[in-house]
Amino acid sequence: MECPNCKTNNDEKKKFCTTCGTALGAVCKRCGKMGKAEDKFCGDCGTALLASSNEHLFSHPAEAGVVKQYALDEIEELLSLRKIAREEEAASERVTQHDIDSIFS
Amino acid sequence: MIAPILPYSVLVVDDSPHSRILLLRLLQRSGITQVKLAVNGAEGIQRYKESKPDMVFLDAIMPEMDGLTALREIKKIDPEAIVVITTSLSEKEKVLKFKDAGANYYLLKPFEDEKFDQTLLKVLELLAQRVKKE
Repeated sequence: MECPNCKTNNDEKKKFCTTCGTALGAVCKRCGKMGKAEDKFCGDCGTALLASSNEHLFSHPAEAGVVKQYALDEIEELLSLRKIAREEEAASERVTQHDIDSIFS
Repeated sequence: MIAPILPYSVLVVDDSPHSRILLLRLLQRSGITQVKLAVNGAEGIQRYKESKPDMVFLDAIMPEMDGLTALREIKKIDPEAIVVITTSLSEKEKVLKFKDAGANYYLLKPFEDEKFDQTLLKVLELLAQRVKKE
């Protein structure tokens, strides 16, 4: 996996860059599990994962103890990311041989 | 009852020895004895160029060159090539990619012998239709 910071090509199993120490995946602030860099939601608890540029959007309100007030554009961005995640989930939908036969008929 | 020998040639491309042997036996049992084997996509393309088989059974996940790349290459060589994908990949997105790349049929591993026979029959019908048109 290529480090987003220094571009070192790291082994796929590494969680941090062996050259500069940058995290090679998205860390879930709620449960601490690390997903892939391109993941938008945590595969274990469903919390939105943090991208460095929009990290402020996704701090988990329950943990912070306060309910964050979102601006309209922030909500729109969050909703659009959720939509993308749902579409990606739909794309990875598994099909049966019967479904495949229909696709190829 | 012994199946009559069918005058068709087949290329089986699969990195799994077990899958290659299984497909070879199923084909032989159906009367197809002209079977070439390849262990990855790159070798599959080479064998395809050499032997121009009537049909190809192509695995999806293989080292060196995967099935999707090999399918696209085979279709570049011969757009009319009949290719049956044999794989355990069941994600709809991936199935559609193979369909878009020109795969004719898609057999989900593990498959029953009966399903293999049905698919082979469809391929033979397709070949027969082409001969009729010619």
